[in-house]
Amino acid sequence: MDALIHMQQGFINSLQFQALLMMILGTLIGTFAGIIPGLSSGMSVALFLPLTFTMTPLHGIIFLISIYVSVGYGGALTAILLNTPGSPQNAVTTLDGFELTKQGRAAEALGYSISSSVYGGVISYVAMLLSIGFVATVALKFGPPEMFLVAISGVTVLGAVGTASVSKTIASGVFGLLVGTIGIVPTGEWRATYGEPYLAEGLPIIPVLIGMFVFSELMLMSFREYVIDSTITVKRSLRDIFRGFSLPRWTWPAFARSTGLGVIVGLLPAAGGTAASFASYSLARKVSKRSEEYGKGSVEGVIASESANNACSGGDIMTTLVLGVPGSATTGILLGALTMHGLQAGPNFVAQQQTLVYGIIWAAIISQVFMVAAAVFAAYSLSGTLSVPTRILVPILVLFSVVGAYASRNAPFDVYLMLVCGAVGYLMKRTGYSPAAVVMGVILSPIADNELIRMFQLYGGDWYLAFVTRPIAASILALLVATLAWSAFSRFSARRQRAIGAENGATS
Amino acid sequence: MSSSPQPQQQKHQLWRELAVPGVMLIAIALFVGDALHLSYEALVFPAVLIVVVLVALVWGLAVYLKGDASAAEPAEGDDEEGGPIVAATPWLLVLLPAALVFSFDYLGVLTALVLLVFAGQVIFSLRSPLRSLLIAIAVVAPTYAVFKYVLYARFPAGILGIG
Repeated sequence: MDALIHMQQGFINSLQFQALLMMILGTLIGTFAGIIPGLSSGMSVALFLPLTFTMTPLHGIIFLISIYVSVGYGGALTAILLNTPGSPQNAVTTLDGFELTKQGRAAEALGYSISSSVYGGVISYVAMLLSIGFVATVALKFGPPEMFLVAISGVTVLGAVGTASVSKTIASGVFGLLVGTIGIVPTGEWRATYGEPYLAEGLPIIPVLIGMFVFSELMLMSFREYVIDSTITVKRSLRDIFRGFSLPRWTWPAFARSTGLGVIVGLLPAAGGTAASFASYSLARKVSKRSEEYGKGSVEGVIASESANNACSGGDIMTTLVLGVPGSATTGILLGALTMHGLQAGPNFVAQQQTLVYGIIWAAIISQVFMVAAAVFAAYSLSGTLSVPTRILVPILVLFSVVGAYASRNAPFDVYLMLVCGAVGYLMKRTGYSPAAVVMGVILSPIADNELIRMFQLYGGDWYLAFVTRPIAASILALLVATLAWSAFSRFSARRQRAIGAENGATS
Repeated sequence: MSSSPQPQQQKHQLWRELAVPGVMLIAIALFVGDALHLSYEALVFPAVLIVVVLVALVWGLAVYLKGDASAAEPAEGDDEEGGPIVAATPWLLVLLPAALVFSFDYLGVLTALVLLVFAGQVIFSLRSPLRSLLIAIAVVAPTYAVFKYVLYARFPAGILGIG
């Protein structure tokens, strides 16, 4: 009953004028950013995080979530029309989306992409609305060993599910955890700060986020003359786009599977929308009765990819709010925003700030209406030459990065830190390391560090036994080990398959 | 004669491969330099992390030296832009804001930011100085206003007294 009252109040709050304004603004910014390749959801949310300094927590989070989710909508448009995914989570959509465009079915593909995104998103948010209270009740039983393991799993899962080098991803994530321990320790000692007061509260997250996500990308962009320079000549009609809103009956199983998989991947700490869309597409292709159409303009392929990456956001946000552990690097920024407002995500946060939490979820549902409107408008009106010169965009984004990093504490120190993070992020991207894993590490480190020290205080010399004697901790540990073992096995068998293939090729 | 570029390229690749481990090792050395005095409770977590980072770095280098390309698939964005890693433009993008932030107290934030956007365009190519300056002013003015009057950021005024 209590939950229903908070749910109702959250609904009312999410319909306030300012909340609606934030949804619209966030949606417009996100859709625009999504259309421009190179501007990922993480980069866009990090760039606009400083604008939420003076907003209320509800309005700030609504603004950032609207950007985060609508980047996926915008990214799908260029994936389908130009064969250029606007953001990494739309990469799989190009496989069939652009093929449909080549067949003259662009409007239909855009309609399927927008509708499966919105259906997947709404289903995942409704699931979150109905289950978050229960999940938080379970999470309230988590003690320091469980929270420590969940925090650590954020980094290890990145190594396990990613396609990049495991050693480099783990080195990046653990390095992030290490630098995240800089600052005053719960024991009262100053750790690796060299007496610098700006580091007393730990590595400030905003400069790290802007540096690793935004500045490093700007350095990469500097090699290109244009961020995007393409011409869209495809004819589209609103009627054809809206026709794609009624998903054909034969695609329903693929849609249901992909949405479910998207929610589950979203719940995993650190997995994110890109992993969800790749996993969903691969599963849909394996089990489909029309698997031969995949890669040649399959409607199912577009639906599988787009429904999964948007459904992922519901699970992603739930993990972030309930456990205080980001479901992806982008939602890590939402955690940073909450911290900026003096709120600490976690089971207690969900239990004590129910109106705010339900307000955020309702806003995520309501904002889908604006996202559909913005996506349909963009899908219909994107035409002619789409040209964004680097010489204009990069200096402007450098300006936003500098001012955003500076304004969080009015400190030049933060700008220098942002530049250092940008330079390191650039080197990492160029050599196969993962800046996103570093960011995850920096965000998760204080949680892991504090929980471990609490374990020392609670369990004394036998602290490590708590990982196996507590049932929930033991289950999480087992799951973590199983994930790593499965990842190692699948990589080993993939390598073996490739070796056998190469051998066969050589003998024939 | 024809074989000489290959070892040269391999040497270059090795330096590239060592860049991030080098940065991480410097950071670890700095960390250790101001962490040795800590109690057991405060030291154990970072100590374990340092060991794991070192193991992962050695593992990564071993994979690289073994030439096992399948195990070292590139990460997202790995070398996607193709230019040399030490090319001037990306590093100028770091040095320029660093120099201008250093001058915040003298020039004032508003002037420094206009210079930043103007010089940022010059780094890429100066097509029309006046147009570049107008773009800089047009972008900086609203950004400055939003941060100063909406987000209440405090900016140094500098010699021009506009802060």
